Amino acid sequence: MNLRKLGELKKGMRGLIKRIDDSSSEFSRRLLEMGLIEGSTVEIVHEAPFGGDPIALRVRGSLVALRRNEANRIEVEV
Amino acid sequence: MTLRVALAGNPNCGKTALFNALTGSRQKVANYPGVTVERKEGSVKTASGLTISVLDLPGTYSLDAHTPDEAIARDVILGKLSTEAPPRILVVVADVTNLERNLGLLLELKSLGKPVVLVLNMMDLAIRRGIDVDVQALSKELGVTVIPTVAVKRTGIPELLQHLEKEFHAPAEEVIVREWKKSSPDDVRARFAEVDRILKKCTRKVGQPEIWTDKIDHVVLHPVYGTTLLLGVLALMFQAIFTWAKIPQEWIQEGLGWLGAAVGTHMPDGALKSLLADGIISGVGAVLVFLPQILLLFLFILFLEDSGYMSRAAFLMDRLMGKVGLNGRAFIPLLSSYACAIPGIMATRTIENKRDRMTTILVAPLTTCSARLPVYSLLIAAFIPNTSVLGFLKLQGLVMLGLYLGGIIAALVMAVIFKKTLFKGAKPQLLMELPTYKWPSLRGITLGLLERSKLFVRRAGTVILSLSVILWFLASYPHAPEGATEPAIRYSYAGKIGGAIEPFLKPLGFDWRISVALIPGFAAREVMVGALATVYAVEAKESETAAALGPILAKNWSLATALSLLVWYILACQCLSTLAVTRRETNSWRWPIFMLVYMTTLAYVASFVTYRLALWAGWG
Amino acid sequence: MTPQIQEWIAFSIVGVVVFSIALGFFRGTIAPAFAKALLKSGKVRWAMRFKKLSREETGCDNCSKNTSI
Repeated sequence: MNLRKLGELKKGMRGLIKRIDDSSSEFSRRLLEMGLIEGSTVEIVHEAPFGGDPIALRVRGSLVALRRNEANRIEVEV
Repeated sequence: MTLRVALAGNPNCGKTALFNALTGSRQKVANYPGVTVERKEGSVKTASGLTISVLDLPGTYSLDAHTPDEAIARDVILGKLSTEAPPRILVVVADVTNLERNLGLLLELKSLGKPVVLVLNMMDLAIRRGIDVDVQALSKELGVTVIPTVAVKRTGIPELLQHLEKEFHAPAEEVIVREWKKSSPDDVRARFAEVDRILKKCTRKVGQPEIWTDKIDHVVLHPVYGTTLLLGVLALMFQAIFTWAKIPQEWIQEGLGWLGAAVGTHMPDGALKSLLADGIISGVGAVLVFLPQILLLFLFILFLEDSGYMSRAAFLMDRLMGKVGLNGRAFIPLLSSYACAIPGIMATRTIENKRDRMTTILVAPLTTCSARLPVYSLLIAAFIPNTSVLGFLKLQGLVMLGLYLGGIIAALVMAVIFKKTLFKGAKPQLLMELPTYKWPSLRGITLGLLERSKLFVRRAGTVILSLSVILWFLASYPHAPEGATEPAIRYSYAGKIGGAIEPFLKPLGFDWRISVALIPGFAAREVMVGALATVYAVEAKESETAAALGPILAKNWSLATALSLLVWYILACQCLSTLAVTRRETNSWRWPIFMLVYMTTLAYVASFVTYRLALWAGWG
Repeated sequence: MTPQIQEWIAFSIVGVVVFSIALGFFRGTIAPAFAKALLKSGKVRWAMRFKKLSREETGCDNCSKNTSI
């Protein structure tokens, strides 16, 4: 299994969410509510200019934007 | 007999379009008591005479509230809001092209036990993208009635109304309302697992993802093209406000001129004539003239918001916002503040982090709100030559843009300072949705503009009218004594007050007349123009309209004074309503007072520097 | 219309404006403050009287706690 942190992926890469860091339950719950759940596929669709941060992901049919350091709470299988 | 229902759903699911389709213009917008969350309620009458009152709740992803809006939505649904009777039926609106996420809320709401009906909105998009949902099967699996709609085309509305009516007349079942508990992360996972299971059964074809949105985003979010586009959009906005609005403005000016002349010829000289011509028509007219520009500004903002572009702008700006310590989401309230800081400040309720929210609230008034436009336009027209730069850009438009940029820079700089001192804290989270692009609803925008116009005219008719009347009185009495040497207004109450303030403002290049005009201008920025007109018109004893004020100022002021006043206007806190909203949002007097103090200090220093520099440059 | 009548009317208008502003200020700021202070010092009946004179925060006449089914 090739587990990488979501925030480290580049544009165009795809992954299957395997684990979400639950330590800050408030933020984690928000991630879940937005559809970032174990078992969902994500694809990095856009990177913001000037640094590639934040990123936009396609997950569960919608586009979600978040910062790379926020995305690093999510581990995906590439 | 009224049936109370509430519309709940994810943000961007077309809830508002459904609300508009149901209630049309029978809407009332106010606030929930104690907070500044917007409360939208409307009503619709069915064919058989049943009145349904519809409450449009703020969009939320789940009942676990993270922001004040979401908290209100939750409290209304659960009946926890003491001033609000809980709705009898919950209409859950879901974007059918995104059921994998939208259904999560439905399941959570269904578990409460209250009557629920699911509306699958944007069916036309689903069909176009090849998504095929078996509505019957879905209804059976969920155990609720499912109604497909296309809110913007009013498709499915009659069916929805029919169903609501049926529910209303149905015998009251034994409703077991369960206690709501905050969901743990695992509860959320379980819920989505259930959503997936249901969708697997009821969706026949998943369909293509929206290709157009991606294609457009390729340009919009491109490092080079995207940023250029954003700057282009902003530049277009401001150039347009200056030029496109000219013709309707001239109409209004002509109308006012005609009115003033009518009063002038048909009334014998006297106090009432003066009050009408120099006070009211002059004062209120000076503000009404700017209605076209303000509407254009709002048109742009509504268009950008509705189409989905705003969130892209926030995405592009997040890096920059982050550098001043703010969230990219602060960009939207700040941009709205360009029309008026008041809705901008109210829009900060989408920012969860308290520190970020405070910072955004405090710097929002620095962005150039539309009320500053009258003064800017007046002074630019009077002092900046109408020449072209680089062949096609007008110098006047550029100076206007420059003033706007001054506001932005001031806001960003102050944000950095605040974040480093008062509101030190962790960098905020982003995490927002980029909705699919859609054609803005003509209906929605028209309703929005209508609402805005009503508010503007009401404000002109009340606040500004009152201030104009009072200013007229202060400027006309007491009359100049016999054998007076100075202009009449110098002897009035206004003149005395202006004289008292003048020593403080002299270093900035302001004479007593400007000082006098700044007083009512403190309560509302737009009044400044009318105040200046009064201060000069009363003196000249002619009924001039605001348009003629420009040349008078050009004759009496130096360029240095004009520049100094412009800079003052960028930064000074001259809006009682902003202070009032700040007090309501922050629930204390401390912050509005702080806002007043810091902005006044900033304005004073900046004006001083500007004036001295301009004098040194020889423009005195 | 003689100048005296004109002045009379004009001054009345000014008076009405000043009065309505003052009334607005009273109902918006002074009355609620009084109501709060009185409540704290226990004079409930007087507090309720001032509360009635205060302006409602919402200003919407529809959001009542009606149990309209």
